[in-house]
Amino acid sequence: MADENDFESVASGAAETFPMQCSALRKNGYVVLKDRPCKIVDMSTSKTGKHGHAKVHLVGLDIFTGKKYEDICPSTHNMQVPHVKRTEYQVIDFTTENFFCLMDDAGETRDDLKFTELCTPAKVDDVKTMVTSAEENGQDVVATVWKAMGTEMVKELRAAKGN
Amino acid sequence: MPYALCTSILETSKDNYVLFQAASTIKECIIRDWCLLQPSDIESMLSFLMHYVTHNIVVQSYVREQILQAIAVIVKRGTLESSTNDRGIVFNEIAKHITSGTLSEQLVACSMLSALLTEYANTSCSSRVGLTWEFHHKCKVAFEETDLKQAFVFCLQVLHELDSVAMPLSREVTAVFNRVLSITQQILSWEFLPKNIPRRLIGSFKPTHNVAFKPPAGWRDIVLDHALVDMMFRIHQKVRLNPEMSNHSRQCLSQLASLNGPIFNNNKTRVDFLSHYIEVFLQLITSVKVERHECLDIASIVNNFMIFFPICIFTSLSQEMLLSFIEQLTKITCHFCQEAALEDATRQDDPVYQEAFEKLLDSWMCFVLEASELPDGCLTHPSTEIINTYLQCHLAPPDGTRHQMGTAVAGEEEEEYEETEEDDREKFKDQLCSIGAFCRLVSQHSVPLLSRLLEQRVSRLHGQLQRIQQLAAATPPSDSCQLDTSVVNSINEDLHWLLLVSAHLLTDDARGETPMIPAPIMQYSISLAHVMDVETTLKVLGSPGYEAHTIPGSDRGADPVVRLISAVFRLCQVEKQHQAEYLSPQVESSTMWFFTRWVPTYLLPNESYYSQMSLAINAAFGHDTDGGQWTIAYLLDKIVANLTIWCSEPDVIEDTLELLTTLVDKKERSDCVVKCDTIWKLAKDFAANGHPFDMLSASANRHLCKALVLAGSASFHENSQDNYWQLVLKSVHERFHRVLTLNDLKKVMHETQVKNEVISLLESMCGVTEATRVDNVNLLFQFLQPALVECVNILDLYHNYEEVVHLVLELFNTIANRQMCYLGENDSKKIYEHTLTVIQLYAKYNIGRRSVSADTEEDQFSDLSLLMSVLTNLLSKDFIDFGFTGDNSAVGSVVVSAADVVIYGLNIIVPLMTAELLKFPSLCHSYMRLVAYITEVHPAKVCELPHPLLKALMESVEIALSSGGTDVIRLCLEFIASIATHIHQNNLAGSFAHKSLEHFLQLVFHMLLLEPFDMDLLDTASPTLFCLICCHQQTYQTLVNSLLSKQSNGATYQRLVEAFSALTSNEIQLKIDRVNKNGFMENFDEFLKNVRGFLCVK
Repeated sequence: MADENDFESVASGAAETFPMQCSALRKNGYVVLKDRPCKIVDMSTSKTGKHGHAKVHLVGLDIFTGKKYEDICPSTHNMQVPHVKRTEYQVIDFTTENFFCLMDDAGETRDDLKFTELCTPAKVDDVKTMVTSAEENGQDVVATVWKAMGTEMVKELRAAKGN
Repeated sequence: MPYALCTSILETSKDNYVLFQAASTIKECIIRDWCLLQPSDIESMLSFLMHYVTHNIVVQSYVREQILQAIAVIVKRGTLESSTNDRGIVFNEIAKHITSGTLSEQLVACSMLSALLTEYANTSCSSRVGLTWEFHHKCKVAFEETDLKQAFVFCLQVLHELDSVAMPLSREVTAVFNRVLSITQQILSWEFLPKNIPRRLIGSFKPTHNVAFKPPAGWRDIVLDHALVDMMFRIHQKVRLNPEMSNHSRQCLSQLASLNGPIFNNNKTRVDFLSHYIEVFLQLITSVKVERHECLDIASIVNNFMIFFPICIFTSLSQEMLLSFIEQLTKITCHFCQEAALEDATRQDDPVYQEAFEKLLDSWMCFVLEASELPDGCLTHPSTEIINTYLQCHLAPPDGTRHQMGTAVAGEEEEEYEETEEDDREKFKDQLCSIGAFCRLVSQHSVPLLSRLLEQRVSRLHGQLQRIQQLAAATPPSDSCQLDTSVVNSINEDLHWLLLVSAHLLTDDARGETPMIPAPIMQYSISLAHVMDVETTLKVLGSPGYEAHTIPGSDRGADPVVRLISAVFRLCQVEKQHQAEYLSPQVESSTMWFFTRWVPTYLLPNESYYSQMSLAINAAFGHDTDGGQWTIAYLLDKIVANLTIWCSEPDVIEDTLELLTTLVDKKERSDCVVKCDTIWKLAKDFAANGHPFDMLSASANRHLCKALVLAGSASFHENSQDNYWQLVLKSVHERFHRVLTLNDLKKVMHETQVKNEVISLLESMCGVTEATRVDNVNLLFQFLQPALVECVNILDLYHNYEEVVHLVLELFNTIANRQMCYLGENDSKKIYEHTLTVIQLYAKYNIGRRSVSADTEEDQFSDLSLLMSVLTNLLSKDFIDFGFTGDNSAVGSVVVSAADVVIYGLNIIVPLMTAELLKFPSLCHSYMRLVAYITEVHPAKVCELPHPLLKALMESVEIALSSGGTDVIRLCLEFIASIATHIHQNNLAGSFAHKSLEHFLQLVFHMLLLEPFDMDLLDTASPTLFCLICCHQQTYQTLVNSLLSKQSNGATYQRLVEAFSALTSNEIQLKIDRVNKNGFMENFDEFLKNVRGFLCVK
């Protein structure tokens, strides 16, 4: 960790998760539960018998589906922690099949991300209004894309001054 | 009027529900029509109802109760009218039934009495009759003066008759018995109000709990008559096995034991009463086996003795009686102790023995504290007995009885313990404290006993663990046969309890006080000085690897106090030699907790606090002694070892770090700490962010970091202090710098390793900040300030990572909280600027954000709380400021003040504070605290807020005022007063802010005069009302007039007019300054005493 080179070496082809001792996990951090990347929303400890050793009870929400997962394990065990990456894109347009047209900082575009609950067809107009009004105010709509364990999803939208 | 109809229904209908409704109607209509009815009408209605209940015994009890309530309400309503003698009539009737000798008639009389008592007691159970509190109060006083004693006499009469009824009791007798006991209890628990009623009680119908029995002097003839106590005990003996009756009889006895007040005209009568009571009481507890349902009241009786009879009364008892009382008390205490232990072992849902035992211990403490007043040595035997019993209950055989009792529950070992479960040291805090006090009374017994018990168990633990480890080594890993841990668990449980008791013997819970070695312990050690050998004592302490008894001369020559402490070091030594997987985290926690209590008291004690110092204790733990340095080094090694071995046990780590912090929080101790290699090793690991830091939780890391910084305040050898700070502080900078200068940071920042490094750095900085004290603030600020600039960048970069955002806010909050008050003008300005930037950035990325995450709301909630906390802490600079303000170099540049930052922050926060969010008490409180603070310091800035914002602010305050708790309401009132003061003093009449206040005047006016109101708030509310009146005199007049116009009664109208004019009498000018405010407060106090009594209606 102390070595500067470490930082760059993980850039590509790296594992999607890394191990961490259960006791070092933190609430609001991430963990893999039942093979899903989860945000830890609750962490508590218990023990078997008064002189027993601690066990950690984890409750997590799948960061993509919001589904709740739980697990309990000895606090000495290692758990897998997912790498969760967030990238911002400018929203340029939508496709008719409900895909976003996004552009990154370098001007590269992509249109492989589908609408999420945030802008289901029912709310398409909402999002469109957001884009139009942003344009009128000289702003862009910025989408935040989360990526973890091979899944990618638009999780947030906000109006922002163009960079 | 419906009376004829109702009476005819009562006479003819057979339907109980209809009867009930008819009775209710009569009750309500009589109250409504009271002034229209002729006294004779009321009287005839009353006698009709009386006749009805006495002659219709078959009606359902709920109908009868309703009719009786109607009677009671009519009687009470007429109390203050000279023209009626309803009460006389009813009481004659009751007397007739009581003396009739017929059970059924007596039952009716009891019901009548009970209904009257309920109505006259003026509690929430009394009926609503739409009359003022003053009315209710006068009725109660009248009843107390003329009838209550009579009612008591009736009860005693019936009890006397029942006393002579032979067992077994028939169903009818039981019914009357039960009823009359309940009424007796009601009377013995009557709240006799003093002549000058405290303000908080005026206008209140809330019942007071646990009222002691404090009858007026006129009751002397009955209450002090020995026959009363005798009879009550006899009756209890008679009914004690019937749960319901026994409940009442026990309460009666307990209430009698609380007898106090004007009834005693001198100490002689008190001694006489107590002496007689104790005599009968001892007869009871020596002749019967106390039942489970009785134990709590038995304890209450004893507790009441101790509370209501001072020690001088006890010492005036005959010596024989006092000693026999103490002896019996010892017996039941030990008995309850055993039962309580059994309850704990079987995990009883309702641990009454536990409660009773604690109550008794509590009572004992009155004796223990005043031991010098009592006959010499009379507590020695009881203390020894109680300590022995307590230890036996918590130790396994052969020394104790724990498992024999515990075997009742199978599978105890497998039971799940949740983290919410309270630790024994908290759960049994009070009893342990009392047991500690007993131990000190007999140090010569308890200290060697505890040493011996501890030493034995430590060596048994050692033996057991060796056996287990050998077994484990012999078993192939694939063969996962479970090792039997029951023996080792039993030793662990013993050790745990011995540590708890020893800690309470040796130390006091010294929070907020200077921890001192208790005088009895010091005396004990000194008293043995002539046979002690310091050399041997030090050998016992310094060789924890050897059993104490193997050290030559240890049995005679070692100081027993040091030996007891060294037993805990021996335990540490055993723990060091074995793998954590076989050890008990609970025992480890208790060990660390033991030392956390012990260190501030014994380690490097301040000799000037003591008139005499034990040589042995001083040689072992004193200043500038090898013993002291050795002890610190030993503990430090243990702590650092724990951080690695126990990193997976959050409780152990927390207790370990608490001990570390205690070791370094005093300079004398940290001077010794920095002489140890261990702390340097730890600092190096920290600098490298290596083990054990990577395994610990975030909060543990922070705590550890704080301890490392605190240790840095020590005196170092020459320039080694620089080296230390290089490791603890500069290394953080270097790591930070390394991250921020990474190639292509914008890309690699998303990598988990980089992000985790950022998180770890922010945590470290929070930890550093938490260590801020006046002696290191400059150093730490110089360290943090440049990093804060970088943190702003970090926030910008990581705005999408809520975990990082939250930590940055937390860091700023910690700085505002811990450092602001010490900073000079220039440094403060820097913090203001950084904070402003942080808020701006936060707003930029969070306003208008839409997210699919289900937890975004929770994140924003906690961010918002933190932001408000940051702002409030910044503002507190205006209240508490130790900073240096001499530097004026800021002149000429644009000055950012705390107020500007807060006002800017309000721009962001106010629109977010919806009615929904204000429902969260904690959030509402932080919000109002912030708003009230800023308004107090900078009212002008608040009044000048843009109208929509100010409007939103006022609306949120109104919501908080109407729905918040006491604290929130107080803050709202302060806010209003600040605004009103500003407006009045600066002639801002007509401004937007001024207009918004008008509404608040109405609200506060109503709140104070007409609604149930928490009188604790009066000191805040009354000046607020004054300020509002000053701002809106017209509106105030209108409110007063409208209230006056609602008074139909001429006398109260006149009183109200006078009260209002006295309130704003000529001495008070409508000018907001201290003199007038205080004058108004005094007047208002009087005003409320005067009028709330008849404005508050029930």
